[in-house]
Amino acid sequence: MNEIVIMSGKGGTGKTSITAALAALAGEKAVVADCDVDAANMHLLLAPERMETHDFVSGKTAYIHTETCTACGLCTEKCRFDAISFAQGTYIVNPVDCEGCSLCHYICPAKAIEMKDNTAGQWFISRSRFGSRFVHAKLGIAQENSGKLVGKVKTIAQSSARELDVPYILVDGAPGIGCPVISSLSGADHILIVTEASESGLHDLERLVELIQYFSIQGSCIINKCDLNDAVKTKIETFCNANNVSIVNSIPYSSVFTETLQQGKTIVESNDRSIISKIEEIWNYVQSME
Amino acid sequence: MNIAIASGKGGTGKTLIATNLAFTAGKRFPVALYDLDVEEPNDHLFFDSADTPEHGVDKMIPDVDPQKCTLCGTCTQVCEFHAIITLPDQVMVFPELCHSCYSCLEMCPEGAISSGTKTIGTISAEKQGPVSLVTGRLKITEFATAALISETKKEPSASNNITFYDAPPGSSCPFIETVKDSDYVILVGEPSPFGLHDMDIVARTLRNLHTPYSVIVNKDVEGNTIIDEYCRENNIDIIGRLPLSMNIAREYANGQLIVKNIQGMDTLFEQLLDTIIAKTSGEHK
Repeated sequence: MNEIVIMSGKGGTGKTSITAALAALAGEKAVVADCDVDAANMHLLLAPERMETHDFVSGKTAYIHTETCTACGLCTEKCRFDAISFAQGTYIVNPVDCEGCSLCHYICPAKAIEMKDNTAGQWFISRSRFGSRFVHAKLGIAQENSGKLVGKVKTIAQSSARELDVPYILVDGAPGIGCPVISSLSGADHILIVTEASESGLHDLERLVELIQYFSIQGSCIINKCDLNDAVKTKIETFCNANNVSIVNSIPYSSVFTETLQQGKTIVESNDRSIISKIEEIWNYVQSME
Repeated sequence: MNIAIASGKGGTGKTLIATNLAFTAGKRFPVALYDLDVEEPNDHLFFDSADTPEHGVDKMIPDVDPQKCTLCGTCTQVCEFHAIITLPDQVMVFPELCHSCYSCLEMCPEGAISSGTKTIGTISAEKQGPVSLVTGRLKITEFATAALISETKKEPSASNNITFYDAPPGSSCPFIETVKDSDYVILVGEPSPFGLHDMDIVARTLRNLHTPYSVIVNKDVEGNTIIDEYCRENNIDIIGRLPLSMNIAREYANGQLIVKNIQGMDTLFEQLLDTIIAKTSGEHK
């Protein structure tokens, strides 16, 4: 089983469009996972038929029982996240600021603070319109813990792939280099980076490559919108060569990405032969990996 | 007055709008631009940013004194983040997992834990003419995005009345940390199904936080009205539009400000700024 995580550093480079197109070509050969859980949108292209829905319980929020509270103020004084304030004669917790660390619960002399479990979102097992198993999630509004939800989605995708005996897992990762990204790296065999020929794309690529090198995971790169800036494209190629990141393909700017998206289709379902063959080349590259 | 520029989806033009807006405002008064997309900060690419001195940002991690520790396991029990583990012969700290809540330090019955430090990133502050540019930069392999955003916001800058925050993508902790003390949020909407889907998530989050917001449509194409329809249904003001344009994409790709290099953009951003100033007067949290 080969787990390929598609990442980008910078957002909006075409990562999800390319992942969905690879999923279209892979059909039943892949389990697909959307790990960009706080802006999960691959389902718009995969039209999944939902098989299972689960609540994602993660993290805690402090709750003060005002009838027991003696208003000593120790919780406010000790809270490192300024989450407890005094208003209209009572202490209240602001759930947005509460980190769920339980310190107030432990130190409250009146034992007036309870830690309540958060339902931070939901995760789903579905069947995509390409026949593949699709694992995805939805983070609750103003909820945190996206890194843990990514971990959940990954674990379920991995067990589904074993259960179905499927050779590939295709994971759409989050942008950036932080917690959800690091969480989606665990267990990855290869990182396929989708960048774009812009100064921002290059800058973000450099940081992402440093991250995956730290975790000793092999990466390769697709330069999307490669005709935006020739000089930057050359800089990306030089950087990739120097860092042992092979360039799989370069795709010129194309309105096909938006046009197909508006129809709920992937780019390989367009009439653009040159884009289709580029994605086919990328899929062949994925299949040729050990 | 803190005004955040956000979008949910990445690549919709947050940085484009934030940098050009800050430059335009800087022609009228001293203004600050905080790049809070600390995982991938790009605002500096659009200014003549030299090697600006940075200072490190530390977070607190527990420092266990093995002489005093009795291996009682209290720290491990109270830690909600599995960041401190009691082994038969020692206590091990996992700094990346630590949320710096001080629970272990407060609860240790032996007083064996003191506060140590770990670097999570850097902050730089520079003057770009009238624009004070403050950049948070997460150390690669670090998790503490929200903590660094919180510290970056505290960095002083020379701004008269408006501070722009370039927000991180998504709708989770980093986004919430950015907008929770913003007086006003500008959502950059991209008229595509992905753009709309993710903008809807952040719009719901902002309603939940009771933060006022409006929308700028970027990559606007005539005949594509999905953002317009959404805003009409939800009673959200659209305060400006930028066309889908290869010229804009090329200038952006080259690290250039479009108000300097594309004719007509300076007027467009002047008008945008007027609208924002009019909208936000009186919106103080």
